[in-house]
Amino acid sequence: MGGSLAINQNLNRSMIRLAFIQFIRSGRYAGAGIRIGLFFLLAIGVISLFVGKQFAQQQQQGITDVVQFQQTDFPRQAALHHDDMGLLLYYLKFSVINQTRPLTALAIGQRDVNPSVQSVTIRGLEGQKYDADLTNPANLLLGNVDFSFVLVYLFPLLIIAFTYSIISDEKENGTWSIVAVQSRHLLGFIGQLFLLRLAVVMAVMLLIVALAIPVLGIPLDGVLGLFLGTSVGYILFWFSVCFWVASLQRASSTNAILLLGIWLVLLIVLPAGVNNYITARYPVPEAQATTLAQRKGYHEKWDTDKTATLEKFYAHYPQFRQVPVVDMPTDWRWYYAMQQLGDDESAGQAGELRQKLEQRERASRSIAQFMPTLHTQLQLGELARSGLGNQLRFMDYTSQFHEKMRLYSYPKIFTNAPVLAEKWTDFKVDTFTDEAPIHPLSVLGTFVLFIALFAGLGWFRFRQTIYHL
Amino acid sequence: MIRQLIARNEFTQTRRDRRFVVAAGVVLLLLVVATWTGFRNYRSLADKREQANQSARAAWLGQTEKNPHSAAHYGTFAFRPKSDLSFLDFGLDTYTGASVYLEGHRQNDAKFSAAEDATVLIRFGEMTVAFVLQLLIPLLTIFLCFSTFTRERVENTLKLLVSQGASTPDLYWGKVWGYSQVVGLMVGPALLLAGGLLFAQTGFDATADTGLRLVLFVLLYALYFFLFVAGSVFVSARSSSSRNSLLTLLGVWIVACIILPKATANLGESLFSVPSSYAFRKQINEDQEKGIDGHNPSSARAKELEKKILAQYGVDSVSKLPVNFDGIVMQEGEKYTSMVYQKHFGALQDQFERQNSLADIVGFLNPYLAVRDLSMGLSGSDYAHFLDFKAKAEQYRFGLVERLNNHMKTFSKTGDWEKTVSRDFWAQTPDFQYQLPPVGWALRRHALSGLALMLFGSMLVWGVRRGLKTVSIA
Repeated sequence: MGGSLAINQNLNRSMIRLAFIQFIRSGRYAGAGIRIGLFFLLAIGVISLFVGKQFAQQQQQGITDVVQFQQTDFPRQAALHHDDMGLLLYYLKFSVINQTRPLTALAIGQRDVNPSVQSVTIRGLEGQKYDADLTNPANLLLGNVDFSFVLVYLFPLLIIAFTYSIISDEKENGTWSIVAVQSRHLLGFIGQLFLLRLAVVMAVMLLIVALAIPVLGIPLDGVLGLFLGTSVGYILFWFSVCFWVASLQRASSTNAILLLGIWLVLLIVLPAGVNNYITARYPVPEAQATTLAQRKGYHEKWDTDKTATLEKFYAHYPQFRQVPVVDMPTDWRWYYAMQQLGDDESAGQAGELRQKLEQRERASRSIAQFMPTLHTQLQLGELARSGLGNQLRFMDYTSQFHEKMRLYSYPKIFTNAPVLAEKWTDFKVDTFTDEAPIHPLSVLGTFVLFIALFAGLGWFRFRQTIYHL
Repeated sequence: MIRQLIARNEFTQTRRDRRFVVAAGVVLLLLVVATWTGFRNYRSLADKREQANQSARAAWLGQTEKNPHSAAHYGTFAFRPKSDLSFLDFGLDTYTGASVYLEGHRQNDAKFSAAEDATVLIRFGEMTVAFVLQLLIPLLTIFLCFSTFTRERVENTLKLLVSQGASTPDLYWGKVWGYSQVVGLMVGPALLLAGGLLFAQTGFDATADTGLRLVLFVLLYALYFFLFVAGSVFVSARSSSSRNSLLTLLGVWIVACIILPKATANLGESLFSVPSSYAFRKQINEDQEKGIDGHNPSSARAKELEKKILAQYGVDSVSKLPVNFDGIVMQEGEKYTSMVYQKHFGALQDQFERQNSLADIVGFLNPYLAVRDLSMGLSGSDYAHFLDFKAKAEQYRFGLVERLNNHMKTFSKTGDWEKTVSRDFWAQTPDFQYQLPPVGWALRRHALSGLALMLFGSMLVWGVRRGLKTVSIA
């Protein structure tokens, strides 16, 4: 009895070795196709790293330019308007950078649509907040071949190509009965066939990420860990789907069509549908409504009573009532009060827009919990700080920064403080570092659930059908 | 005759295939949903833009008595109207700015694109009619045709047909014709709905131009589907097994419709780089101050202008001028800054167009790119139409500011910034009305893609004819 078990184990082991050789080398079962597919995916993976690198370099260039701009522009303007603090601050543009992490190059997300640098004067914020970058809309529409694209779209295709005919092929060639008779743990044997392919696919993914670490200078931290975890979870999800489809014991061509149908629905049809739904469900008031309100709020004040405007301003900032009025060529206190009121009077619209965007972000995240493809794309974006959430936090930070600069500048303007007493080169470009917490459970939970579901269904089904020859 | 029989046979068999009927039903449903939601979306955007344009105009007319130059600072907005066919193909509309702020002294870029307000999901693509037509119908065509020859070869039914006197071209073209009818049956209802909606919303009073655009749109996609049907049936004829045929066709679809377009965009971006927005703004500032050629600084330009105007009016000081010198200075300044902006925005747009032209060139190998380009062009949602809007908005802005400056010049004296115009002055300035360029203009802009598609089609037919000679029936 013990002897036959040993023989059986040996047999199993040699069958697996054979299966591996057959998988990689054999010409009979599309072995050449497998090799081409692997090479192709690896090549695109490497290309995606260069796309990311190019993106990172563009970002870096933009940051270098703005830092340099501010360093040369501030002293120049100060020299030009050395006797008029109010006029100087009318012109000065303070910049904030939305920090780009090395990881962002792997999942560019919305970072090419939204500018990573905001430059604001202390005048009305709403008119300045929505300045866009110089972008080619045609390229934005097509999107980037970044790592997240390769992972989310192309890896599943390779997984499908590797596994759609694992059992059906043997059946169609009449070899399944031999395998079934010779193996004592048939389900274990099937599992090993899947594990074999899983190992190869994982190796490709890990190789690409391993190359990315030095190429993009990605730090080895917890965020990278979660990023990898998401990638692994996504690959496992697709393997579990393929495992389930294999358990249905259909013909190879049916399997292929079924799996590609799932790919199509999960990656092409549903995301577009969900996006349509969210856009229609949470219509944003057109952002320009805020700008219009701000312009109106500000410009009207030219024709309104000065004291009324100032009273409103003091109601917002009581601390400036005490600042004594000094004689100036231009009444800057009144001017900036008008600007301030433009913002104050459009705050309603701005808040409404902010809220709608927040709702969109939240809705897409909760819907994505039930669609691992969307979930992966959103989470990679979140981890790489390239999603809408990051953009909203950056906008909030910009508003705070703008407020800070205003509060710093107002007393200086109202007292017409000497311009040259200030050291203008000390005003460095500010950087926003997104530290919003990300819970591993919310990232990985969806995967665990779906993998368990499909692997469980597959296992259950296999137990019933495995000896159907 | 025999070709028609074969065509009818394929048509009937396909309709009887339950799997196919389900798949086609789903696609048709998607198409109808896409048409309907696209149309609703279009209507709501078109209405909003229309209202926004009206309220911008109302705000302009409602200005109080003020100095003309204050009005130039107040400025106005130009909102880009949605083109009639853009509900079929959103094209770049999601990624281009919806409005331009028009003010004195500077040209602004278009702002507020829908993509800025979207989550990452938008990058998966939007469910539009064009999306279904460009990506999903070809995929369905592949599933429809991949085994048409290979299956019959296994079942030995081809021999029967040949013994009846059918030649390989008969078989091939008969099948192509049959499947084309199937695809037509799938797409037809949605396109009828689209046409109906389009004409209903204009009160059955659509312009001839819109009608022509729609007809060309339909023809374009008819050609596109024909290419896919012909190609898929051909691959099936040349393949040794259904599986090989399917793998080949799916590989082509994924490369042509998913990977290549993105890769082209990334390549274009790295070949033709553009400056960062700060470098761009710095160049504009420098050109304004030091002169476009770097040898004509603004201070020298001002002195020269003063000399010229004094000589023109035969006086020796600005205060003796019968006109407002500030108005003249501002208008000359406006002309100069416009020149500077035109130079830099022009260079930037040229660079973007170079990036895009790469896709046009790849379109010779990949009909998906050519069709995509033409489809956006016909729908009025491409880059060319966007630039046309921007150019016309800028033209309007310049005319408006010129009018304000010229009025300033004649109605007040130099240094008088307090004199105001009466409120009825605002109504004398014309309103901004944007007209979509005619379809001929759009076609000229995309002639290269049209040529690419024709050439690809001819090459395919030629290749098929040659290839069929060596196809074994049995």
